[in-house]
Amino acid sequence: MGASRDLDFSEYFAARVQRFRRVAFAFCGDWHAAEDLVQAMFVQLYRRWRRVRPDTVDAYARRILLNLFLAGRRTSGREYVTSVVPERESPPGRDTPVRLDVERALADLTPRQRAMVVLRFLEDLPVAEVASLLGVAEGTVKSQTARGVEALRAVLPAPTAEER
Amino acid sequence: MEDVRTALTAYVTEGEPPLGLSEDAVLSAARRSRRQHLLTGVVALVVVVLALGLAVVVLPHRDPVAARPCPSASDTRSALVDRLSCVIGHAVRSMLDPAAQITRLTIPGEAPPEDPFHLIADPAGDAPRDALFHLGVRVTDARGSGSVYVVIVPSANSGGPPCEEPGELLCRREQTPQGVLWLSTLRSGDVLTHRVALATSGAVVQFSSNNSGVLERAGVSLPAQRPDPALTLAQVRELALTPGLDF
Repeated sequence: MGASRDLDFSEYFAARVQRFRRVAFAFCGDWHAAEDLVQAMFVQLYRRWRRVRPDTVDAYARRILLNLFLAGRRTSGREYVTSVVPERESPPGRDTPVRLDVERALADLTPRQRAMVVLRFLEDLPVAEVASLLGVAEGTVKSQTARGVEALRAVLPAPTAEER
Repeated sequence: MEDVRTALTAYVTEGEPPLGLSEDAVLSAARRSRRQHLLTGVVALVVVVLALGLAVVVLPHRDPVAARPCPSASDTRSALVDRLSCVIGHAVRSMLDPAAQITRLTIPGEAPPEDPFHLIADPAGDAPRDALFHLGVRVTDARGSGSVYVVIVPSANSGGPPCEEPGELLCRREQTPQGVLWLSTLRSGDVLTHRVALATSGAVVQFSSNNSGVLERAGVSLPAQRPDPALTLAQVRELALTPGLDF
């Protein structure tokens, strides 16, 4: 039973870790912090692994990740020891001007606004699901994401005639 | 909105560093966390069970009637005894440390009642009030053992115990709205007794407290079992003035 559980969990981890790390990075803007969030998310998920229905596991994992991000778990001092040293070099050409502008625009948003923008446009979740995840009205999600989108568009290059 | 989607996707994919999380490390941390979580749950459960066990053992020995209102009926002697016993029990307990042990001082031939404050009624007539009501309890706390006695005589105002008794350290009379109070402190050997009697138009109510947990008996010298009586003179005075000890 335990071995089967771990096998399933390992498969899920392998299939989803990169996706959730990207979401976490979009939430917090730091790859190390993103990995901490994702690791904490998987640790919590493991505790309830047997009780989570397969068709809802993504939603459940996303909710954990969001709660961890909003609760600032990363700074609460709870850390998990891993055998991998997290420090590594930044890949060449990573910090392009547009990328830095997007990063600044995201950093200017409140954590909840940022989470709404990420969930709506990176995770492609419908407004209703984002509202449910954050415990707010759909109207709030619409208005807050509109502000976030406005802030992001202000730093994005103007679309070319073809793109228009 | 496609531009925002594209920008966000590029933000999280361009220059993405290699994955620093390993499956083994995360699984190992998850197992460890789960074990800690289970252990915490077990410890919490044990604490709850212990607390409940303690409550089951301790609570039945605490006063179960402390907060219960006293009955008001006095139409039979039994009802009158129940009412007076309840009023006396509440009044005396309120003056003692909650941790103090209260046990009945039984007179020869008496089986201790469940409520140590249950009055004995020695009949003196047919009416419910025509009796001599009395009781004694031993009070044991950190300072030792002492006693509290109550005597209620439902007769016309006959006055309190006379002053100038042997061993009298203090004796005074006091007029109160409820009636006349007689207060005295007596010494007999090492035993000190505070005694206060209230004489109303319908009864004499007398409370006394000493520093011996042994039943008072005529001609028997009592051992002192604590430095002072279980209750102070002021407390005994307050007991004598307890509302509800009328007929």
